[in-house]
Amino acid sequence: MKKFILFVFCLTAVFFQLSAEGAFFSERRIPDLALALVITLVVANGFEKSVGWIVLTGFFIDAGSAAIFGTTALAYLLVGWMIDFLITFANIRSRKIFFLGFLAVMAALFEIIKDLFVVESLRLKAFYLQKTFYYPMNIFSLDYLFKIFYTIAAVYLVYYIFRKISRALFLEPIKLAKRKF
Amino acid sequence: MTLFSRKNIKIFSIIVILLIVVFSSVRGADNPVKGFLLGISSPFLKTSRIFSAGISGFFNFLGSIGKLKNENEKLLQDNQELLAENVRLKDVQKENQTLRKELDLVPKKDYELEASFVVGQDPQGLGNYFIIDKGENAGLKTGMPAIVSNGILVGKVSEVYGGTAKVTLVTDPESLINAEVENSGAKGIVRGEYGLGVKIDMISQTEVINEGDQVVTSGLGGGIPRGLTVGRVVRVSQSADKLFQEASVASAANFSNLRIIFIVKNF
Repeated sequence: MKKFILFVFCLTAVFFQLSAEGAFFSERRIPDLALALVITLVVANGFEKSVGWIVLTGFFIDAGSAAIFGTTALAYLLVGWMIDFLITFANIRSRKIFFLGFLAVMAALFEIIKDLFVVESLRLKAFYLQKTFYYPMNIFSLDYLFKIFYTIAAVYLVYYIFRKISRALFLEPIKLAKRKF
Repeated sequence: MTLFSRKNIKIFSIIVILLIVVFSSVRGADNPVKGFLLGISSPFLKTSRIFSAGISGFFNFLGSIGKLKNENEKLLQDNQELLAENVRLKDVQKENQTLRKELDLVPKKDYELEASFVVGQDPQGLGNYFIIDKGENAGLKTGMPAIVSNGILVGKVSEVYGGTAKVTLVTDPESLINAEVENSGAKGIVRGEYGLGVKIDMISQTEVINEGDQVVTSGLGGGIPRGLTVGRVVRVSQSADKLFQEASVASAANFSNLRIIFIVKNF
């Protein structure tokens, strides 16, 4: 049951990002709902338990994206792994404000890292196929700033919904995965 | 926590598998998987798109109530002008038919169109394309032009899967379309400028082009019929090497609001 609900949750986020968001946001400002999902899953469920869902989400995004198939899945996996490391070394739940700040910083930082990863892979592909590279990425543009801002809002929203669903359906509080050092 | 812990070995293995997937897809081996994933997603994407477009339309309507009065007046005026133009065009059509009969020309054929819903867009804002709900099953092929109902070119089919396809818009930098400026007949190539609109370039220096001129497809090179509207010239300039003229073109289509597009299967 839990796996089925997680599956539906992942697909809903993916379908929203692929189709619905285009009706509300301009194409350069589309928030990364899938990244919000990755952050939520790793923070709430732990990285190991979420690996399958992260890769599945990445594959669906890759299928509808201009990116090379597999790069977004790989980027999300690496992002999830990095978040896992950060959680290990920082007591992110010590204060609520610290936790909210942590989510925002992670969303902004990993959105940039993920986009750079995808764009650079496209540059490599263009170089490999001896084609002209057309996708410059300007992280200092107003559009990109809005994209980051919307993604941070998406992280809060997805995390909140996920927490509500978890409490209501799985009858379990969200706990950070504890691990040995 | 060691480097070769069970968890890390598992992650490294997944990374290696994903790297293999990435390298195979660079060589074009990813099409069946993409087709499968888009195929199973297509009905959900379509439902989600229609639903969200409805909500977005409702909020846009609420936001635009103030402008409606002015817009209504302008539309009434446009309508009167169009009625007058329609009468004139009917007259031209009659004249055209008479001349065709006299010159023994075959009547101009209608396009064979395939209507399709726009179900998605690039989720990462990288490419200027749409995902549509028709594909190989409906007879779509790569290179077919996509138009909106009144003959405005919006792009070309760039990837075809079983039940879905990707339409690369004219605003994409990789989209190249043979076109001409209607008034002067100056030939050039229409290409997208990443997120900045469309331009026509490679126009000979001897040609005269003016702001406001209509840009249409030239039909050269086949694939796209002649006479599809691309847009209007808004600014004329020189190419970087000063060998050609180029012009920014305001597209006639509103790309952010496309719901249904038509693929020209035959012309």
